[in-house]
Amino acid sequence: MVNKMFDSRTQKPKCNADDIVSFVYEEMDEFQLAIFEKHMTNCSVCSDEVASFSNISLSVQDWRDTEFLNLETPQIKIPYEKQIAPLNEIATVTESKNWLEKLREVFTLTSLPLKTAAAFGVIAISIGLMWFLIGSNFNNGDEIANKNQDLNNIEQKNTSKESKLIASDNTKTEEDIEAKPLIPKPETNNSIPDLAVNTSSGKKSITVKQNSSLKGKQSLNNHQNATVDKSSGQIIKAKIKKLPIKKEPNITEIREVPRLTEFAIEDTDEEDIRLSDLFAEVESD
Amino acid sequence: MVSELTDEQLVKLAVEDDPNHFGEIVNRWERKIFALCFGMLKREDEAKDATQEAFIAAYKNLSRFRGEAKVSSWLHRIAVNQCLTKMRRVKTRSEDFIDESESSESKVFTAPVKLSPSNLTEKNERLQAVRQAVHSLPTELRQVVIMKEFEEMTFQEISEVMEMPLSTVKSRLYTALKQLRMKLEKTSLEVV
Repeated sequence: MVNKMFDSRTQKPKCNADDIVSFVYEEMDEFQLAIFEKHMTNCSVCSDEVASFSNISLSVQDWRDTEFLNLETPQIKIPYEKQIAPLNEIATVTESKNWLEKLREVFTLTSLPLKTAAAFGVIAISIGLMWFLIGSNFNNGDEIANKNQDLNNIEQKNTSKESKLIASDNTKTEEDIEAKPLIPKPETNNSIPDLAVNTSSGKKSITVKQNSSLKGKQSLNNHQNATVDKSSGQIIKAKIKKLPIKKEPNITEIREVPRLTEFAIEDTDEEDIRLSDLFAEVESD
Repeated sequence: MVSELTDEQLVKLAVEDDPNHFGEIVNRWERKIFALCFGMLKREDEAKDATQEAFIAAYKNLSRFRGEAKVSSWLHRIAVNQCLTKMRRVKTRSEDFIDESESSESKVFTAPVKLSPSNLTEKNERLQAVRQAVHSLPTELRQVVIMKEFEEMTFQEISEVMEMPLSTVKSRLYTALKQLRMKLEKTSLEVV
């Protein structure tokens, strides 16, 4: 490339393609012309370039003069009967256009500040929509949390009522173990509930739920209620009733928590098990 | 006098007052636009069609002319687009093979009487070689050569029409001339 070439003698870049082209087509001012002519006297590369390019230019002009110069100019026919729609009437003419074409017209006709303002408006509207959607999701989440809290409160009330139903002997110590909710939480329906022991002196009324240590022999939804003699540790009566499978609670409804008194009225076909067997399995784990 | 008005004033009058003012613009630029189209398309009939379509397209879009560029620049852009559209159509129809053999025979060529048959043949061959060399250039380089040689536009005018810097125009012309020199040397014809 001739753009930057160093003179072998002076080691200075002098050749420039723009100068060569400008010189060939005679578009240099006097000052530039004097400098370049002086340069060409010492640069054979630029001199050769100027010579060859000048010959090519003359050849192309020769071709133009030979093949084009004698051609007649075509008669241009303009349909003047079709009036040009003034700029202020373009809007009415384009009424039948769809929204996309109108949008394109807006961005081609309006100036840069208006385009910028329109772009910012679109961005602001989209951000507002996103904020609104995110905010509504948070509100829904709050509603769900409130309803879960209501369910938990109801469950706690039920467990406290269950603990009060157990008769107690004053001489014996009472173990008040915080009852855990009988009904599993909606999101942990498959979780294995824990052992809840409500005791009073003399007799233990144990509300046993299925836990991991029990090896899952019974269904998760079995509810066992056993009365154990504390001194002997033997089960007086263990009543098991299989409850229907509890589905996940709907946030719009409140589940009816079965009361402990309901289990007092037992059917005859209940299955009795030995509570000691259960504890034995617990200890083995 | 209409002839004393600038191109921009004529466009404004054509839009607001009388569309016939556009005729003066046609008279001023039809030859140059035709030269551009002929140089780009190398065929007289196609060049005439492209010129006609360019001016009709300009007339229909007069109201959209915003005055940010010169009318001449605007007309040249329309003409170049018309030429490119025509070239794409010709390419898809694959008529170039037939046109190559016919164009050289159907060209109107009037040679000076003093030229001998041998000189005439040599001249024809050189012209054909130059024509082929120019048309083998890439479109952007060919456009600069045509504008410079056929329309005799200045570098500044070419930069306005093509909407590129002045140095880019000169650089493209330099590259085009170098490629033309290589192609003509390949054909073993002495340019001088």
